[in-house]
Amino acid sequence: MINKKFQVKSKHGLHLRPATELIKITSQFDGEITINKNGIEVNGKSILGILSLGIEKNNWIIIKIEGEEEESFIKILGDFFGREE
Amino acid sequence: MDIDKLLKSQPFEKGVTISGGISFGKAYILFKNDQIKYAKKISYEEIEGEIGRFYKALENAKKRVKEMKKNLNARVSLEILTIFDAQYAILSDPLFIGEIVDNIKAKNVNAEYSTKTVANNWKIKLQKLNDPYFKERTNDINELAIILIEELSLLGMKKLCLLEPAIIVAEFITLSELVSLEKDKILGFVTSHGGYTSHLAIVARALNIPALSMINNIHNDISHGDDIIIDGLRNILIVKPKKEVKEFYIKEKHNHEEKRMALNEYNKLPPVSNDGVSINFEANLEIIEELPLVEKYNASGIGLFRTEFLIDYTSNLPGEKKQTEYYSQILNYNKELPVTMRTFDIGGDKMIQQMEFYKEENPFLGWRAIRFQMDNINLLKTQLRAFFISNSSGNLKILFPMISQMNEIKRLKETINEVKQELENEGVKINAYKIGIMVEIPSAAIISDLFAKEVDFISIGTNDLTQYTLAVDRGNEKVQGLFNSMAPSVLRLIKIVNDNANMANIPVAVCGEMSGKPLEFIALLIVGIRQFSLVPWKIPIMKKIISTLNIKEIGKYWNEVKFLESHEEVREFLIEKFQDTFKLVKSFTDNYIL
Repeated sequence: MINKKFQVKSKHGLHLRPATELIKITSQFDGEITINKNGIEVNGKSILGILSLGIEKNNWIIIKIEGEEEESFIKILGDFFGREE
Repeated sequence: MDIDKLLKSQPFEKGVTISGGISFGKAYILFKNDQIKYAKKISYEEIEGEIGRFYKALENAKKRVKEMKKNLNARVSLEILTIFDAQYAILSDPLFIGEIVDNIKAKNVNAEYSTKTVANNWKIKLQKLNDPYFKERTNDINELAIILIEELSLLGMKKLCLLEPAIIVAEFITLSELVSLEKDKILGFVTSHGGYTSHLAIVARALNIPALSMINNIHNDISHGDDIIIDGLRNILIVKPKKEVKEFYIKEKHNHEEKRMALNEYNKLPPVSNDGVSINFEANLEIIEELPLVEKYNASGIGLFRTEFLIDYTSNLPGEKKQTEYYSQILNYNKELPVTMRTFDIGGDKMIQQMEFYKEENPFLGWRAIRFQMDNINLLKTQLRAFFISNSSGNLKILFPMISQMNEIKRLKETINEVKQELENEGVKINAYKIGIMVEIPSAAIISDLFAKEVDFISIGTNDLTQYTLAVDRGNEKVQGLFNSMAPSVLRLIKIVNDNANMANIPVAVCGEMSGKPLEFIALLIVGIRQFSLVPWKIPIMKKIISTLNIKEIGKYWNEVKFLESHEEVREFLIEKFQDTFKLVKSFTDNYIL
């Protein structure tokens, strides 16, 4: 299991489009992913869950990931959150 | 207090009564997206099926979103296309799906309502966020919920759960909706569409539920839970009645109920006249749910089962298996009683999808009933096969509607033989059955002596016979005043048919509305008819009437009636000659029956 903290860089935070993009990634993952913001944790494969966190630009989130390909996925996620677009 | 005076200061809507009576109660607005607004309870056994239905709708909704995206692909911005992706993601959201499924399980409610509840919860959650951008997303969820609910409704509906008795208000009511409603909680129907011959009208009359149609702007004028009154005598709908108006109708309703109590007494009467002649009363039915009425009202059989209601019920043409399943329930309900199954009477005002592309100038003079079925011989054969397979106790009577020429019955008999041969080759045992025709077209009445040699029984459909004899469309308000089954021409035709059937020694019955209207019923007795099929709840009324009559000598009046010149004269004659009976009838029935 990996726990990692990220700062979300994208312009409007995790609004609909980036959240949809994020789901496209997380749904590929065979295992569990959660996203935690300010102590509220949601299923990382649930778009509604992610939207409900209201993640804005520069917010910090903690990703918890557990599964066979966790290493490679945490890298992909890191790239994703670091993107500024 | 005089009601006409009261109505001067009470707004009301004019409509058309399609099922008589007076009713008042709370309005229950049946929106077409009603599934969302009100929870429908499902039983424990139904939960699994309901969840299955939800998953199927979910898949269909996903397909639909994908299609929408594909269709727009080249024409819109990436931003908009993303919305479809997001919607797709929501439809795949494990949390969203899980919550809906859990809601169905935990609360025992239908999938539509669960979807709406869960979507609403999410909307509220997102609305709480500060960012206006996220707030806007609530619309996406709304839209999705609507798509999902639409898909669910395409997969068929769950039963509507009325918590308390109410008057159903809707633009129109489909038969499948009608069947799904709990009849004992329905006080009445108010609709904007659906005429006197609509399915709603037929079922409402059969169940004796007042119904008013052709009410405009129902959604503007009536709100859910409003007090409303249906006055079928005056063809009006009153919304939010004033105190005095309500009091008037409460009294009216009370009288009505007292009369109804008297009728319950008459239900115990034997179907025998004052001078000991037995009269045969059978039931007209259209849906399976009505079967218990046969016993409740002591009908001696089912004189007319309108099978075309099955088509509307399943919203397409059912196959052999479905039909067999359905007919078996009817034929086996009481194996001792004869069951008259009329083949699909479609066309005219009852269309099916397959016919819709073919619009006729004069549908009532056109490709209808047996004419349509003989041109679609497989359709007819399927129905006949289902009849024979269901006929395990040999109480089947097959009735063909809209017969006008001799070669039709000959061809139909050939078709029956072919079907029997096929079935026998397949090892199906053919039990006893009878073949009959509806006489509802004047040509068939005129040569009924020839028909009587070809069939086992004759059933006279007085509504159509009147319409075709007088050339009056009852649905056309300009001429409907000319429609009257006591017209001397109609009575003479019925007399011809009755005499011809007697001569050939085959039974003849009247299954039209005349059988259920006291004066017309007496006219039929004078003509010589001794067998009737009618809406079951009217049987006690007719039994009471015959208990006052001397039937053996009633035929003598024909010598006078046959020379009368108009239906008004016939009516006056009957009221005068049967004064006592008429007075009695007035004391226990409402005017609309007369």
